[in-house]
Amino acid sequence: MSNWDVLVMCLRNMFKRKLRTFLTILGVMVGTAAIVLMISLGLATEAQHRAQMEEAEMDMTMIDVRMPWDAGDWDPNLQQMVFPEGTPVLNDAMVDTFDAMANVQLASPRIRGQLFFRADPYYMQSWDITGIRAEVMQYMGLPVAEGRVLQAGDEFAVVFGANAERGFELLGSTWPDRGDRMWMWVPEGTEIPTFVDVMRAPMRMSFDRRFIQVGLDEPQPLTGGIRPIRSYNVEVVGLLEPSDWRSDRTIFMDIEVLLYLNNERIRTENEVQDEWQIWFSAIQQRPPENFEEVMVRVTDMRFTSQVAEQIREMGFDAHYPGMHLNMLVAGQRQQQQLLAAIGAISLVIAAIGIANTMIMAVYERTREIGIMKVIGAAIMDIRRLFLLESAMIGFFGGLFGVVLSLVGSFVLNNFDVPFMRPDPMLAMMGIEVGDPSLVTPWLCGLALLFAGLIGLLSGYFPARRATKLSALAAIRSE
Amino acid sequence: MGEERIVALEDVSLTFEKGKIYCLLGTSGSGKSTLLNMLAGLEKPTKGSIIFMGKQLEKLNETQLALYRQRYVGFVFQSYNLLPTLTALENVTLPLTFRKVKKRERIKKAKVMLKAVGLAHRWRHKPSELSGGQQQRVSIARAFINDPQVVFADEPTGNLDTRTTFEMMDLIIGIARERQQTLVIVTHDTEIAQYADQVIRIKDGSVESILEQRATMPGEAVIDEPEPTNMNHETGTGGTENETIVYG
Repeated sequence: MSNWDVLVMCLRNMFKRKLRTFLTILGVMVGTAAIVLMISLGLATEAQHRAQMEEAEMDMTMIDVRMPWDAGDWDPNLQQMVFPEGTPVLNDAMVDTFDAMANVQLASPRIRGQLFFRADPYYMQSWDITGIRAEVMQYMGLPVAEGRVLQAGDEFAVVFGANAERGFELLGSTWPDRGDRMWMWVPEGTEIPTFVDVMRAPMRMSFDRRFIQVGLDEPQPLTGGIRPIRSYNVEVVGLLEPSDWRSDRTIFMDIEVLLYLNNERIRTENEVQDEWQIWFSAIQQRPPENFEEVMVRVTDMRFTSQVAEQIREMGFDAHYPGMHLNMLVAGQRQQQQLLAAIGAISLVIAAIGIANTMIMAVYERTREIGIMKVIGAAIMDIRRLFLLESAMIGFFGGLFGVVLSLVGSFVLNNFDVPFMRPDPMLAMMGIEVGDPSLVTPWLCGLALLFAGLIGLLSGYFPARRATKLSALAAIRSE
Repeated sequence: MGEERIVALEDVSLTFEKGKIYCLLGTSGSGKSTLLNMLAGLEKPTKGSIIFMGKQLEKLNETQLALYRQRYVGFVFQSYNLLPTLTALENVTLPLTFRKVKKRERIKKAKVMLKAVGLAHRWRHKPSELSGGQQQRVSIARAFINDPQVVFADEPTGNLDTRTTFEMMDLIIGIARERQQTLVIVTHDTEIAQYADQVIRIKDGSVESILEQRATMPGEAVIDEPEPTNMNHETGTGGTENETIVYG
């Protein structure tokens, strides 16, 4: 039989049992629509997740490791945290351990400090000085706009983050009359003037708060003053491109130098009785050889969550940008996998429906099959007749199912469906939630192909049964 | 039951010549139908062989047997065996459809065939809309459409009344003679046997006798029975549409 003849006869057979064909197609339709809709939810989440990651410009390869907040107790006598015996601490040995872990590119301690800068007539009091090992900065993947990153041997050399310059203010200005240039308070699109050309302007720095008041007509009241003010020439060796918010506002310098300056600062503050500074410094202080923070950079963002989990098991806090988002998405994904499984079950039931319909058709047409065999139908002809019929049921079920899922997707995206409301956590995190369902063209194509294939597979055994029928027995059956 | 060995045919040796009309005559259960099925390649003998145009039928596989039936064999059944979903025309074209003959060509051939069996005006009708006689005419047209080497007719008139029986026999014999096709008729009716060149009597699975005779030509047969008044199969308005089909 030619393909056309097979098709015509097939359609005729399908039309002869209109209701049965329709019901079988309906089963496939519902199954296909269910699975397509469920997958569309997952696709929408994925697409949103990707968009959010891109928007936030997150460097997801960087993990922050800290001591857990409840690991130790504050000792008011020692003025520092005290950890119980055996608590894992963030010391040099631990940094080396992190460094040796699989998929870790580098691990480096990271401390924070507070310094005072002057590039007359401007000054800056920066609480966001980052001390790192100078030799590892080149591996941090920070883009350089001008100059270079820190390297081994750098002492009073610093690298400015893209927005760190905005900390400079006119000497003598105080909090209320500052024209604030800090990025977080500036509306988007505002032109922000540059005060200091950090790469070229001569700059000095000090750990001593009195430094920023030297030479002012109306010095602010600062007690003490026995100790002379020490300051250093500082060389800005590099300026970074904007990358992530953390690096943008910070000033990088060698960890050893910063540790020294921090200690000197605390000593001076005590001597000059700068009460406010003393309190502030105390809460920042850590026991010796216990870094406030260690940064761990993984080789690829695929490993981030896995490495973070390993570090958590070692007894530390490990955070990375977008972690909460990641966990939310992981939760959603799990939920959607469950839904997809339900969709798959309905498709399996539809496949059983097709097989049942086809077996009924074989029974019903036993005599016809016999007649056709006797008057010269080849086995292939019989097989093609049945396979095509089941494949068509699958295909049309898939086609209508895709249409139904498009309608369903439209409803989900445009009407308020109670159980589809976005997780309130997302809104709390300030994440905009897009359409809950995304039906892509390839998903439609795949669904069609899959439904057709399921039809074909379901028809295989009934078709085999039809070809195996003895012509003589079949022709005698009623 | 299943263990009991039933011998349907034994020690049968027959030769069929091209262009002659044969009649396998025997009572019910004599094995004549089994013989026919074997000749048609629907059943295989446990022993012995059936040679058609130099080939042993019992050695062919399903695909080859399908080809054999498609190319060389035509069938007329007692119960017509038309496909109920197809029209008379489509039923007649079916063997050509299986041979992948082009649609226009097969319709042309089928119309010629339908005209030959006197059903030119009813080609659009489904089998359920035709009388028994008309259905058998369609079936005859179908059997002859692909110019088979041999046509097998299994009790072709078993479901028909006497008058129609003779009409049908005249029709089959007429076409077979005209085309010089081999025809093998299975029947238990001695009157039908008159039409054959050779009557082969089968009894208990063996050939009882082979009788060469001068065959009755179409139209020569004498109808004994009085003409029925309430049936008119020619136009199909009579009431024998839903006949009970009894096989074998």
